[in-house]
Amino acid sequence: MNIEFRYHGKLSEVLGRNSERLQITSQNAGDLIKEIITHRPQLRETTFQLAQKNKIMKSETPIEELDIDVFPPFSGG
Amino acid sequence: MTEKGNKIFVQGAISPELVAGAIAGLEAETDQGAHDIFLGRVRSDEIDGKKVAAIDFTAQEEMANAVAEEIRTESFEKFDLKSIHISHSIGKVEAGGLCIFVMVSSGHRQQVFEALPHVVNELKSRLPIFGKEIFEDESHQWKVNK
Repeated sequence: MNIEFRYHGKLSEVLGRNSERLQITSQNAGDLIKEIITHRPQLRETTFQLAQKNKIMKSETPIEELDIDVFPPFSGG
Repeated sequence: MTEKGNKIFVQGAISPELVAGAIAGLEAETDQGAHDIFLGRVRSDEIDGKKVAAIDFTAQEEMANAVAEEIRTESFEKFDLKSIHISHSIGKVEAGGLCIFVMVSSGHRQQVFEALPHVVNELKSRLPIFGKEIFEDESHQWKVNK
């Protein structure tokens, strides 16, 4: 799958970009997190979570969208 | 009045006039005898000798609005509330500016006293919003919520 990743907050700074397309083989979010780290090892030391269709993905959540948000910890308010 | 479909974001600091307007806007809701308000303000924290001058907020706005709506729906189920107002800043807010405004309203005080911490805590933990603390020398660090 060719997925568009949208990096938010600190992650966009760490990676020097707000988004990118990556070719992905993972089927669920847990595997996808590991696969993202193999593509972008700068994220190894950071905490991040994924969302699709405006919902946070759990490890077992299947990948259904071709656009995925990559979030560092939230810090609103 | 449930304010369904409201968008939460305000560009820059939330003005005291916006807060006053939200209070005034409820004058016709004569069954709402109690309001409780949370206002969050940007602090000029000193970190390693440098003072925070502003926070620049970014967000996944579409998701933040959707999650705020979920929190609103859940809170109406959990507490006997008549209305919930949520505003959050996007973009740069100077120290001293307001960046979050939450008002819950009900018939009586007990429900609003119980509901307000719940709503504020859920918003802080679940909204995909990211604060960049900008120091007076224009260097920055990413805000971490306590």
